[in-house]
Amino acid sequence: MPVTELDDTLVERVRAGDKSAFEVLMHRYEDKVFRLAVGMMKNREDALDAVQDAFLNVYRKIDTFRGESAFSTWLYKVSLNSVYMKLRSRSRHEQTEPLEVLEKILDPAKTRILMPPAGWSTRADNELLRKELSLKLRDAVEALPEEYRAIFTLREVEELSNQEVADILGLSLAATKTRLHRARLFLRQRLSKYLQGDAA
Amino acid sequence: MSHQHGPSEPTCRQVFELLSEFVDGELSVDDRESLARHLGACPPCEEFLKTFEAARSLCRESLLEQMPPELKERLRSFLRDQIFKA
Repeated sequence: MPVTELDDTLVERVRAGDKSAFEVLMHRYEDKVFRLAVGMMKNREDALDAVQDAFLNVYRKIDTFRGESAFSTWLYKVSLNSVYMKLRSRSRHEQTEPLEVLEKILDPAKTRILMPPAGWSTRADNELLRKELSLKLRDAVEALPEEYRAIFTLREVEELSNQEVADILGLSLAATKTRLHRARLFLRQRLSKYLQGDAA
Repeated sequence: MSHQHGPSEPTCRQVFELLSEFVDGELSVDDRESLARHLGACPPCEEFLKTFEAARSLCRESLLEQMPPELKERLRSFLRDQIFKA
């Protein structure tokens, strides 16, 4: 069983012209970059386009990676830029909720805290309902503004730390945590409305 | 959503604002304990936390997927043409 090479070692090999090292990096990260792209774009064909651009950009720009952060942080940053470019080119960003909706969620003066209906836990255990809810949540995630969607996907799906997410998005730690909380509240609110039967 | 709470206990609104830090394990021991006490004594907040956690979990599940093999092949083919054959 070969020892797994560190990212930094592979990056050095790529810089030295070893294309097979890039292939190893690509295989290591393709699922992660794809999940980020699908989380941001939903449509798999769009996501594939973004992933292709992302890896091409990573290869072409690898000399600009200075090693000041983990390679994975830099790769996510480059990948997210590819996703944003794709979203811009297809005007998908126009389908998101206005930012004000998210802003209101943590504004006590404007927020009515929705409470779950009785029997929620029992209903959520039903497998079919869970699948339906899962689809509804994909829609809800897509309704998040891009930055909130990226934060939610990187934090909850890729399980990166708040600091790693902040580094990728170039945000402060405090801003990242606030936006993550708003995104979670927004999604809970969407789910709650669905369970109450008035948001389908 | 409110109930009687002691002077050192967070209000329902404060609980609402601290939920992410609570579930991420980022609160101090004291804050975590007082929030847990509030949750134990406040059914609406406890229910809110359950749906907050359930929404995260369901959403995560819905987004957790591996890249399908046919898309991996298309990605690799694209990069072979763009990089490896160049």
